[in-house]
Amino acid sequence: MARRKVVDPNDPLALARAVLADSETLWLPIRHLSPACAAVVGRRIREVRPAAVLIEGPDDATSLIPFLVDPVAQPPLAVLSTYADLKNRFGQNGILSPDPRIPVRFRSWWPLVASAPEHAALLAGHEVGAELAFIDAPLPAHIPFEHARLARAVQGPSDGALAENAYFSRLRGTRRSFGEWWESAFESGEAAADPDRFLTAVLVFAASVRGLTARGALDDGSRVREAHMAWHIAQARKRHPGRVIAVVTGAYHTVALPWTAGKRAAAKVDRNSKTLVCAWSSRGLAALLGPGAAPAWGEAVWSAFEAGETRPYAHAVQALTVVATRVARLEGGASTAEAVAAVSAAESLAALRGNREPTSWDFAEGLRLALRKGEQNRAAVEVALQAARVGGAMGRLSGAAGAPPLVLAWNAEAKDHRLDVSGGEVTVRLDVRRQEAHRRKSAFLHQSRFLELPVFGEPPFRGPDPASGQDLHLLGETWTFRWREAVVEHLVELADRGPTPTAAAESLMADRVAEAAGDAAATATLVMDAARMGLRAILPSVLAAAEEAVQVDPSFARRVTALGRYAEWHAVRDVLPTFGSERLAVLIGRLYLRTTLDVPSLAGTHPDRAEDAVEQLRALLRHALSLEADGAVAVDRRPLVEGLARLAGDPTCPATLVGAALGLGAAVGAVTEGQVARELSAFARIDEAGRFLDGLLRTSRGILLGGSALLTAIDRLVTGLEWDRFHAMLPDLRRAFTAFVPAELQRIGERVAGEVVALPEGDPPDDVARVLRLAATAAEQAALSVGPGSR
Amino acid sequence: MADAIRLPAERRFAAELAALSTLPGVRPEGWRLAPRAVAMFAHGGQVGDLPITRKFWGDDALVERAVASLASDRGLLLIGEPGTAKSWLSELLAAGISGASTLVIHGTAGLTEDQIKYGWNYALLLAEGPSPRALVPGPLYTGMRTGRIVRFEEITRAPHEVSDGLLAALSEKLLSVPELAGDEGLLLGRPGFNLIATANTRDRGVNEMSAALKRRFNFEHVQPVADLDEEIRLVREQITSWVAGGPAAGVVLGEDLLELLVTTFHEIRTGTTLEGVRLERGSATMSTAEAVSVGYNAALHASFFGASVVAPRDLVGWLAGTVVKDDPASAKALRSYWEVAVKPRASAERGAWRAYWAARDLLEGVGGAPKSR
Repeated sequence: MARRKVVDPNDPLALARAVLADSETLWLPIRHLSPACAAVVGRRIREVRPAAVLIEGPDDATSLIPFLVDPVAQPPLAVLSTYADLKNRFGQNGILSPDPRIPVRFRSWWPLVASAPEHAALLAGHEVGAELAFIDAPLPAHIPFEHARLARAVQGPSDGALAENAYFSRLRGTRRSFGEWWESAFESGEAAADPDRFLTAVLVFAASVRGLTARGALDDGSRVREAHMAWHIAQARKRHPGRVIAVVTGAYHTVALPWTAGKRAAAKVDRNSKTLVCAWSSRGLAALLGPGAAPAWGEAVWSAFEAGETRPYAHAVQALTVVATRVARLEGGASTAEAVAAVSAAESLAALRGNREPTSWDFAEGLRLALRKGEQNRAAVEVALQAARVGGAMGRLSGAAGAPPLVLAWNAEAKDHRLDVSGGEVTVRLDVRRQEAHRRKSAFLHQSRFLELPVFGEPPFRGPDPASGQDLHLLGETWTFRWREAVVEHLVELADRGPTPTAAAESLMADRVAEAAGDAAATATLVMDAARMGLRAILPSVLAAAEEAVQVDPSFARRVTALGRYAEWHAVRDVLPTFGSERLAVLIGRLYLRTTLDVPSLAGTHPDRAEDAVEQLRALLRHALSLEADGAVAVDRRPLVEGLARLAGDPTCPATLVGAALGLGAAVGAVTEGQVARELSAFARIDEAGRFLDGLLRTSRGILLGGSALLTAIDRLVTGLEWDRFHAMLPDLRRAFTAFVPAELQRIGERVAGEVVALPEGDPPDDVARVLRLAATAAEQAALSVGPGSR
Repeated sequence: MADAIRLPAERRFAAELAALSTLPGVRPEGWRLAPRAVAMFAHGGQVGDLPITRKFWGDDALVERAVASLASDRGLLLIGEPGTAKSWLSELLAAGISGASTLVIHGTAGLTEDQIKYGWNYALLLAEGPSPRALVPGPLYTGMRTGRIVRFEEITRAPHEVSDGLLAALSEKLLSVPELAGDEGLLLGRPGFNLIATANTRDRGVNEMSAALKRRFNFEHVQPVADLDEEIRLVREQITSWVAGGPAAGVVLGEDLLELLVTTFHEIRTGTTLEGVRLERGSATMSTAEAVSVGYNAALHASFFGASVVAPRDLVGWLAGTVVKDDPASAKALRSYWEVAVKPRASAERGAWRAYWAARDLLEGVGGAPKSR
């Protein structure tokens, strides 16, 4: 590169002039997504007809440029670079990903919309036959400075240094943001009509920003990237000696590049890097760019530029106002008069603010002024405004460009399964028990759901769900399927996970397994998910994670939940690829054994948590009986019974759990009513007898409906209490008896009066009568409290 | 007009308006100032050596939108909670655009059409019959005839049959006087005429305005001041200007008391303390205007009955009356505020908060709550 005259960095105008006076290079400083910059760039390239047009973008996307300039191609488009940090090269695994074992998937986006200067440069350069190339460093070079520094895995275009600096802070005046200031200063047909003046103004601004930027702030990666870009520029000069090269970069870089020595960035792409071009949508772009994004505004302005309008932004206001009022009309408001008023208000605001043409802010505020009529239509107006600003454009690439393999594969599979991808909502019914084709279709739909593709209605799916234990009685699956344009964008984002839905689901499953490590319940769910998605290749590793979790998970509750999930699975196992899996059967057996052996440890449960523990024990017994009945898994109930006996006999065990353990023992026939009655009679912690009964009756209410030994024991307990102790126990007693319905309580009351308490002839002694009344009152009140929320 | 309780904005700030009239810029027909000068009159600036004071504290963009709206063929409706300076902004805009802010219609249930448009001098009417001499112009008639801004306060409190009488004036910019014949029976609005209305969302929203009338207005929602520091600055300026030259001129209202006062209003209004703790909310508006009023009243009280220094206890007494009014829920909310917000700050010995906390006894019995024994 020829040495350039040294320019005082504190003289922005001199620097700008020096840049523009360069006879070898057509420097085109831009702000990303600026229509005015796009108009100037396109015009200058067509005038100068450079030999090469070098553009800020990842240089590993250069080979894809032909697809971007193909006549069939239509923005919005995007260049997407991804890097899956499998080896934790950048030290962010576990920081930007949920777990150190899960690799961060870095992404960077370069949107190419019609109004983007980069896109205009590509088309103009192609038109004049120039060599086209991207010259920025590839994604791995950006990661330490952008993604890691800013703590985010996804990075898109930003104003960055142009907006966040002391110079702009002083310059902004009453402008509310950099975007508003830029639009007022630069975005007008008049400004773009004088490219020299326009470019000078942009360079002066950028040079002033750069001049006031502390040297340390350039550690945002700018220096590395600029050196890389300078290297490309030097290479291009060698290829085109004596001819002009056009360089289209962010203005912040343009003011430094002429004086930057070239050096390729050290960080290179490797097999974990992928760069592709893809068609996008306005809505997807708006989601990517964040709140305030207005793709349709840029498009409307650009259309007006291309049509030769002298006031393209004013033209865009009119066009988008019509769109907005049409949408608002759908909601019941907005007349043509209001549309006229909105345009008029936007023009007035622009004039008031000294804007040569209305900005997107003037447009939005004018629309709100004219259409909003108080709170009742505020939401409708915002919807209309958003629809106008974002738009509904869909990008297109030629077939030769291809799409990421995942996109193609998913579309192909959807068609194979005769799923409607035209956008209508359809109901899909699958007989997964009897039809193999339906099982394959089910697997595809489960994969799509696991990948969180927006192709489902609400609820997405009804059918036997072993993961949650719901709807196991249903014979088939019913899906609500609805294709949306956002599906393609989701698939593009997932493209680096694999070339097919199965591969992508397996990749995601591996991450989920790593996240769920050591959690018996979560890994059980993942086993079920993997099974019904048909992920046979990864199923062994998911099972391995589940096996490990069974061994290491200290949580009794989670192990019971896991057991439940596996037990539910048995109801539908024949439709899953895990059917007959010896390994899974062994896993379940080990889980059951380990869980039952831990039953005595529940004696250490805090009394406040005793009710939860009772429910876990009930669930454990339920799952054990289910597995036992099924027969596919060897279930020996003896450890469970022994565990319950040890729990009941532990003097430190909360009373509720003692009762529950005995009740569960009675439910499996290991404990008789008489034994329970004796345990109650011998229960040393008299004041906790109510809780004992509560636990007992929660788990075995039938025990009180049969013989009279237990009823007698309860009666003796209650009648033997002093009034104060009885009064203190009453809430527990009431709660215990809520296990019964009113008819059962009536029956119990009659038995208390008849079988258990034999009344002497004549008037009963006062104390006995009083106790009888109190017992009857307790039973009545318990009956009254039975109902929703009473338990 | 010496010795007036309150001068209209165009007289009070006559020097600023004169300076602003020298600013260049295209003026809509009938306007005394260019739109940018009107906006500057409200949100402040500088003309040569003369500072233009900030008079409206809030969103400057809102002022710009209001000015732009009045340059169109539609009216401007300012809606918002009580005490958000809608009427004040309306006055400033009228003063800046027309040099007159006194063409005001007040919306009440008893408002009649002749109070808006025109009435008659019945003696002349009987003597001469209907004639221009016998006609007594109302604010709307005068505004249309002279090309000035007309203000309609609390438009939604007026019977809608009456407010709908504005339709012709806003649409066709004409006012018919059927009693007069020929050209005298038709008043065509002159350039510069427009209407600024205000509506209070608390008492009655805009729901009862007819759709036809709503369509003739551009709506602008005026929000309370969101930034606490800005609100403190506003309250300080307002109280300072109110006490200046008056009986409370020598009263000291310290910064710490201002912080107490404005923070209380700000937090109760937003329902959250600055530390993020949720607060009970009563029905009181807790507007900035009420905060100014409390501060001013406390200053007066200190001047007449105290030692010319406002203490935290003085604020509490006035606060209770302003906030609670007759609503027990507001009383409860205020007492809850003392427990949730004031007490921890008093415990942390922050400035005047201890004395503020100590004055909580003044809240007892307020709103009908029983006093503790």
